[in-house]
Amino acid sequence: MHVKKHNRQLTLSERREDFVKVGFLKSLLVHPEAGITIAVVILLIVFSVASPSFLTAYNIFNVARNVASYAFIAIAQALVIVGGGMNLSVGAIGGLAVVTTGYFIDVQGFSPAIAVIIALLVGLAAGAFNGVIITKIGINSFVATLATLFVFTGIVYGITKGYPYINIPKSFTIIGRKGIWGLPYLFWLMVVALGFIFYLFNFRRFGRWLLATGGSKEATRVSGVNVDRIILLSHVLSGLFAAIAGVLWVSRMGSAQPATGQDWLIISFAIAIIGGTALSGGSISALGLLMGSVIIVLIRNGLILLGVNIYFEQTYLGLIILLAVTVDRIRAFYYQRAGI
Amino acid sequence: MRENNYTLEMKNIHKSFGGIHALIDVSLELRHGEILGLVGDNAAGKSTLMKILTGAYQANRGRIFFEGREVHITNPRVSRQVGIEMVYQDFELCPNLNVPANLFLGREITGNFFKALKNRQMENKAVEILGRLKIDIKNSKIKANRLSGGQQQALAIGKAVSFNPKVVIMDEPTASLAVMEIEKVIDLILRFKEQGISIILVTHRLDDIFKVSDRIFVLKHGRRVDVKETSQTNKDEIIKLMF
Repeated sequence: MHVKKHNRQLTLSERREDFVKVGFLKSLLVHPEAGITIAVVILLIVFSVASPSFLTAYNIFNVARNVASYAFIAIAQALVIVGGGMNLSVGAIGGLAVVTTGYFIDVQGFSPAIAVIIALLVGLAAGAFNGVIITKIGINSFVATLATLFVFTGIVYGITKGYPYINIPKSFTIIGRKGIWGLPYLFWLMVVALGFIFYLFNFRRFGRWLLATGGSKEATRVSGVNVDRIILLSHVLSGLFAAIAGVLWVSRMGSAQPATGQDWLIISFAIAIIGGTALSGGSISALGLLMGSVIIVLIRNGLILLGVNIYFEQTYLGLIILLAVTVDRIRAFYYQRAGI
Repeated sequence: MRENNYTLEMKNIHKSFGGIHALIDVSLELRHGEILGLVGDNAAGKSTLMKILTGAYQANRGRIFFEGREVHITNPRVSRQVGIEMVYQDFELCPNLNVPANLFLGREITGNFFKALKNRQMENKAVEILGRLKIDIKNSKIKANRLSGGQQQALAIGKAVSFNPKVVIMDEPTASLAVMEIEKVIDLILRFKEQGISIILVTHRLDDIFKVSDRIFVLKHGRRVDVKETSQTNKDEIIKLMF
């Protein structure tokens, strides 16, 4: 048996040499950001040529705003995927934050700043609730967050009875609707958030330990890291980012719609996976998350500009996700064989 | 304070899982700078005994003394702080992290600036550690899952010994290695002994034990059967004790 194992190692390294010669095309599969960046460029060219309204300032502004909104959702998901888990309740937490913001501004008459702080705290608490269930009770993240998805969504509808809060002051929509240097504030906020993700995973112990947990929980634990605490914290952060996404959504829409977040789940997975956050955990890329967001938005936006029957949108999204997962599989396969 | 004859002493350790007694009144003494071979059949209690040392399990009864002082090893972090390191059978590396990140996992070097990770410094130190241990890994930025089995084991051992532990526990360090790689690991083990590190070597491979150990500790059905000076025993006797 031991001899067998050794043989496998040898073949691996031989294959690795083969791989290095194959080079460029396959290395795209290994470096997700490279491949996806090229895909983004190709899409940009295709849509620019196909639709004259694509490269207008208005459309660019609009696309950038959507990209930013999605990026926050994707960050919320990626933060737990990287540790080997998932958060099915991202959209529900987003919805909670939306409704909290709306409720405290519209019904309670609080200043938006206070309402936002409360909404973010609600997001933190919801994430902490997920994290505690997962780490203290020991329920896997799929089941735990599937349950809280319903819990949180129920709270949203229980409080609102399905009605939106619409008395949101104009001043509150500045962040969501205006911009600077030709791009929306939301976009710049996203740049900051992605910068934070990059810093977190390259220069913080927490990020390093979360990556390690996604790679091997056991190895991380025996290295003296409190793995449960790391996972718990990642869910708290995930809740926070979902809540930020929710608050920004209110700012963008100018109202707090209880249905906000219902389509986030699938989008968050799609972007995270396309962006190189391996579903199995242990990898994350700020650039990948950006490019993943751009791709999803471009495809949605492009389809509209191209006049495709938009009622099929969900089908397109589903197909894109299937494609992304397939590419992820292929990438994992080559990554396993390759030596980069 | 107790008489400081041993680096490590486990006294009358009991451990049971539900109704199953995994360890019954086991006492183990580890001398300064010795290599103690720990042998026993499957389910003899070897892993359980070692996991109590590393803090993965807690004994139901019994005491542990480290350099004469009683210690309470409640989790892996405490074990490391005391000066006990463990090298696991399945290497226990993070496949997705590179060599320095694995070496420094759990005790990363951070700077004064908001405690940011000092990646460059850890890389340099990693190269230095690998060099000192003569571990053959050319590119330290490579991820652990790109290393060969022998390199991974060497890295795992490097991770354990590079922070000046007093005691290193090695659980089947050669089990999944090819013959040539086994020799290298054995060399490595002997070098640590020269540096004064006490080693507990858990393995099925009696050949390895007889090559490197000073004494051999035999466990059977959760009990200490005997401890023999390696020079005054032979394989047949040990095998008889084991079964």
